[in-house]
Amino acid sequence: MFERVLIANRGEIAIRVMRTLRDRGISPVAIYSEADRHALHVRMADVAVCVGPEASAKSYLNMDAVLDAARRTGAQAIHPGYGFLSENATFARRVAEAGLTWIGPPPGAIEVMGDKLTARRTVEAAGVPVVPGLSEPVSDPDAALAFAREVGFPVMVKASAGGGGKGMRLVKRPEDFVGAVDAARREAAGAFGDDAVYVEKFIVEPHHVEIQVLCDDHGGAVWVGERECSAQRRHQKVVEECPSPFITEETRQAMGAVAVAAARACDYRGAGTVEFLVGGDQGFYFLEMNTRLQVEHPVTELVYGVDLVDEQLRIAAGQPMSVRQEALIPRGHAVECRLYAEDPDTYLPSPGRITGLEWPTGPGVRVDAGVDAHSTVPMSYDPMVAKLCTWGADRDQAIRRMHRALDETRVLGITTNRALHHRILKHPDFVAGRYDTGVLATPLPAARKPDGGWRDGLLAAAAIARHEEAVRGQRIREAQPGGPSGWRTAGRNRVLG
Amino acid sequence: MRFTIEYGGESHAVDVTPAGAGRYAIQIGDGEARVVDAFVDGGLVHLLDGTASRAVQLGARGDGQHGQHGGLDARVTVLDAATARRRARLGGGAGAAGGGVVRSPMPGRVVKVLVEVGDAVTAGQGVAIVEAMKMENELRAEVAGTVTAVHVAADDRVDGDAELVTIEPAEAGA
Repeated sequence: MFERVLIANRGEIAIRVMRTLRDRGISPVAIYSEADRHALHVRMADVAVCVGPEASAKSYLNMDAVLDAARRTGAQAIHPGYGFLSENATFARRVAEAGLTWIGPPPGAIEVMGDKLTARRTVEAAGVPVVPGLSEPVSDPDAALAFAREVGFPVMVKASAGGGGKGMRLVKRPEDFVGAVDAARREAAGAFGDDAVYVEKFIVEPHHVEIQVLCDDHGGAVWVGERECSAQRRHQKVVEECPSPFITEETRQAMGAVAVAAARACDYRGAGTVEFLVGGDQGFYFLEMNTRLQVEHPVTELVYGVDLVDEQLRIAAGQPMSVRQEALIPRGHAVECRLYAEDPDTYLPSPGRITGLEWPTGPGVRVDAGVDAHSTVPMSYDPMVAKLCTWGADRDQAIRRMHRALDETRVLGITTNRALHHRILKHPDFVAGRYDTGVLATPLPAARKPDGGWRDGLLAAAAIARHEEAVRGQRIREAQPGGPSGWRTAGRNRVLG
Repeated sequence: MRFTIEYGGESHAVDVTPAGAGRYAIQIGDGEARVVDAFVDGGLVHLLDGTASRAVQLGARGDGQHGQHGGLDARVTVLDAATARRRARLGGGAGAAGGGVVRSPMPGRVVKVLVEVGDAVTAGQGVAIVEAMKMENELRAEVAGTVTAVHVAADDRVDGDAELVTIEPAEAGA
């Protein structure tokens, strides 16, 4: 096993990885940008290296600086966390070339899964169901229309080079098809300089369900349950849970087997996640494979009793994983709420200095935080400050514990989306466990309103705190006979104010 | 000691009179005075008011304070008597100027300014785009009128509450 590992990340995931390293007695090395000099992940490390200025492109994404940091500190391996360099095949290769171990999948697997059409072809050949669609760009609109009729409307016209919704058209009726293809082509040409578009069946009211997989060098390949991630806003996950309240046991088993087949198809090693769209009829289709640890991995850890980062370390060190498929039995239910530094109503980001902070604790609560009471949330990075997870013997208990954990959470000085989570968790479709990816676009239950007693408590507390401050200031002035008198200071303030 | 506390868009007069042994008589507005037992430590104020137990956390935020208890958040600004009098004399200066000034609600980087001095704008029209935490946010005019000043340029870094654009509001009915 390794003695020293560099974590090429920041925030909560750097700390998450650090904890497992410490559990194993491995010395963690942190990296940081100039803006993060005194960030929590740096304060928690004993060894830390600056990799550049605030802009990620010049620090956390600076491969030379990260590799140099590993060399300087004698790290034997690099854990990339998620985001940043975690799905960068070039970096994975360079780590190996530098004689270090990459705690992640082989670069070839990252490349196969990193390209949408290649990924689709690869898994399809392994018998994995994909969303019915054309595997080549549309050249003949009439032939494409015939295909659309065959798979059935609605269909989605998508730019091959696409992203961010540009060059995408939902087509509900055959008579609109040719016009939509033309429009999508024009938009794609304008946005990406490439007018190639392809056609895919549109899954109505889809659920986003993903399967956790682990593969080692000894032929071991298992799936560690699923996560339901349908509560999304603008394709950003907000609440996740394990197990999915929507899929049947039959679907779960079928998806697990298919996810392992997808991982084997790209010769996968380490921890990965196969994402699926699931229709109302339980039909499921491969969406993509994330070749890294997921943000929402703690819900799997809570329900399956597995430390996924520890398994990553074992696998990277060439050891067999510690789990066997038949021993992976889910227990209870877990929910994760992503706490973002953003306004729960306007969604505007809220970076800044944290002036007070306490995390929830107690039965069934796990907090993976990237900040503490001494932190400033910089404006340059992801707005997620913590993941609150609760576990319960059943789904209902996990959700009730989450309401309690949210109430116990104190973050002062910045605005968090805490209140939004209460509202999502009370949404009738969420409560019933039958929500799809459209749930956050529907009206949410109203936020709790403060009552008169609450308001009076707040006003009394604010006034008493200020009164105490004034009295203390007076005492300090009286204790300094030569110092400025309170009267004189007050007078000067009035003149200057 | 009397304080004026701004909360929820309203001003509240709060009188605090020490009553010994960590207790205070509190009177809010014209309400009845109540004696509460208070423990103050750092940002924590714990109040015992009869059988009601309220632990209120307070933390600095901008020129005011961020308060939390019972799972709910609020912003409060506590003014001492002299400051409250001065504000009253100025005739609610802050409020009057607010409508025509578009401010950045958070620290960030100006991506683009969408208007120039002399431009006519409508209420709700975007005047600048500010990026923070990988998200671009379009900031809009609250009032219709004419742009009289642009305080920032593309690529400037701005603090929270920084003035971006000043708009001279159009006359009512004009």
